[in-house]
Amino acid sequence: MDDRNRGRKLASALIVMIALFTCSGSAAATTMRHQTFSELVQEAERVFVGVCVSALDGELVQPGGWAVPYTEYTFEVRQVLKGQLGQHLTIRQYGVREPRPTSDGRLALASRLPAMPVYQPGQTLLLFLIGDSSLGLTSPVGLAQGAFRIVSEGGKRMAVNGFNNAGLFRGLPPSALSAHPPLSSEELGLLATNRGPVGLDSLLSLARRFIP
Amino acid sequence: MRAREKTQALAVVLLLVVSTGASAGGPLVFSGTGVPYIWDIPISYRTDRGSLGIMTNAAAIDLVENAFAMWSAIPTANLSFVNAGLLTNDVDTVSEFNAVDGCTPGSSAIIFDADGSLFTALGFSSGVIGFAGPSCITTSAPFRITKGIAALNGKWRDGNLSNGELTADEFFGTFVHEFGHFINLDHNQVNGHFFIGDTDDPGFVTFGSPLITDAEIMFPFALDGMDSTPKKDDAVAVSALYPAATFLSSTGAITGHILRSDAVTPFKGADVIARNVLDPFGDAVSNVSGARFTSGGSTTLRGLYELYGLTPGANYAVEVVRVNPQFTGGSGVGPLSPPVSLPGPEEFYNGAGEAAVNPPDAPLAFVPVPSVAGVPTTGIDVILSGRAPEPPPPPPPAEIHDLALISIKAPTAVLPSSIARAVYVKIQNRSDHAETIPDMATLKKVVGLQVLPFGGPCRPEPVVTYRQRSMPVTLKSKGSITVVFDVVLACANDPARGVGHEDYSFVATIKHSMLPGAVPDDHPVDDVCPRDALATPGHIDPNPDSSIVDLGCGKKKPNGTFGLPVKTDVYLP
Repeated sequence: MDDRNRGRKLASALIVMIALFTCSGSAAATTMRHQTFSELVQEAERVFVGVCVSALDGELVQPGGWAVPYTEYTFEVRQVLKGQLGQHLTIRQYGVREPRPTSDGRLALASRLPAMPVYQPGQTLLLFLIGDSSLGLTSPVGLAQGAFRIVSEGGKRMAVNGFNNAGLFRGLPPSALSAHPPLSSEELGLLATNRGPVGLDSLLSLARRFIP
Repeated sequence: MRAREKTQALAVVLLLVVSTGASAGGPLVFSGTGVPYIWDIPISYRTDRGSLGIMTNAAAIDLVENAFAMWSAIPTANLSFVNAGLLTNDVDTVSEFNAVDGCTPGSSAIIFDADGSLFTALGFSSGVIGFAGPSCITTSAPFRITKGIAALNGKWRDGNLSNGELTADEFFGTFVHEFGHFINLDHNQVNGHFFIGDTDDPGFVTFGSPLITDAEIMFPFALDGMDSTPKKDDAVAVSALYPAATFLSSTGAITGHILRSDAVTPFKGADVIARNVLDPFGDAVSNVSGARFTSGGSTTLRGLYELYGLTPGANYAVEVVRVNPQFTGGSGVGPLSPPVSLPGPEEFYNGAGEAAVNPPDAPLAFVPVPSVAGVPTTGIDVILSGRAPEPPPPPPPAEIHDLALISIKAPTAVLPSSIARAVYVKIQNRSDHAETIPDMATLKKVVGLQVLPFGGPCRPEPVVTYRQRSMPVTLKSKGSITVVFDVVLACANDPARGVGHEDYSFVATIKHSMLPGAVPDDHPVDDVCPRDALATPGHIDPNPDSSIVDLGCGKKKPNGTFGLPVKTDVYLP
């Protein structure tokens, strides 16, 4: 087998085998596992559509004087798919939104993990949040993978995560495809989507299939 | 956060200090004037005191040293690392993490999270394997990275398959990649995108398929089967940041601008790849056009690409491709997120054939660019094709407007009477569209019947009486209707009966121009009856679709066609 054929064969074998996302930015980088849509639903303790109403930077002072930087977001909850949520939800994510200048003229960059999503007041989002840590910190499942901005395209509500939905429906368990009731044509359309915004209603419909 | 997003987020704090454009196959963080941030060499770091999954502390330190060594071993780069020893504390808690983060005193910290508990405490989901990068930079020249941080999640190497596990090679490769960011490298796209379905680059079409082992280590996605060795583009990127003394003098370079189809406007965000025509996947270097351009920088940086570290004496095919649209946000390649589409097809540099259109500039045609040691080959500008202008749509076929008369039927012989006799005039719509006669008034204008007397004073006036249908009436194409005229034949000009004694003949006319719109008839030869058969081969009427055989109108001729006068004999008994 010559190299060219070998490469072609490898290509066909590997094209769907993306395992990891590496995520650079903020001068740092994160590597995380690609998570299937069913994993987003199942690993999340809270899944909801909400509007971000505030974003505040803060510090959690720890014993010994070290301060843990965080950003506190409050959402007006519009639609709950998973978890017990009230009309408002306040969460804290590790890191502040802006680097911090130091007294000696330098700039501390690593105050927020790359791929940790940032929300702007007024944004409507679909979030798949893990449970709070012992310090009360949380984040979306798969970081930006589990945070979807809701945008309007042609009057239709569309959802897109921080990776442009790349591979979002790859690797779904076969049970998802043989579910009852049968998948709607819109849901089947989702499964054929490799990237780009998808219809929110269809996405929520598919998500409900993975909620016990 | 992607570099450009960061520019927005940091605007207040940084002013013009850090705009962090990013350059595929190049640096990740730039100053506001387009100067890449670098470390002072050697880069000093300290490692955590604990274990890392199933690895002992010593094994974890080996992993770190080996991962850094993948970069320091690049011969064209002047890059070295110093392990300054262990951190003061075993970093297990968020507080301990914060004590070594940012611009805190001390060396850069490499943190081993033994079981993922630190990541969990930070509120990160279970899928996060690790992170690394500069954590502190200067805000004025010289633009330096003064501290970095890396954290490795041992959960992914704890031997427990149920919570996710990477192989030793995958885990190692992850941190070779992460440490690439630590030294300020951006992602790149040279060969790896072939394996995520982006197989139609001119380079792949022309030179074939790369091997998975050709995939660059700074490719945004980890691909199954890729190895952990920095490839040519990775090596050139780090050498450009930290050049060995002979790097620029011993290698070639190609620079130029990517231009829009007007050949003037720079295009930012195209991935430019130079491939050695004799080793197109092993000896390939990339850069994203306009990567160093910032709002505070020189305008000559707009659309500029710079390809360094080329093999002297080799010839390179320079191709311009899109950044794969999956590379957005933190997985971005180059300065734009989401990446932009090219305005035209991906293409090679084509020398004097560079143009905005094909021909002369076929996307797969290339002129090799020679590489000369120490002498950059400049001005290799590529004019992006505009989309091939769509051929103007064929003009819609002109509408055919054709109403035709196809028969007149009148009584052959009648007694004089004040009772109206019916004369039937059949018309056909030979337009290529339906025709609508809106009302009786229009019908009377469209279809006419003359009663021509022979040799006498009697001149009856026919009266149209469209009896069969209500108005309006719509005739589909090739459809027909019969229009009935009442004619009072009360007197005989020639009271005798028989051939030669006929009193009247009938002539019908039809006028398309009397329909709303007043469009004249395209084919007036069939607008009168009687008339002969059409003088076309087979008597075919070309309207509306050459399916109608027109044998004429009127009385039948001996030859089987029509066209003789239609007459009525009024006789007296």
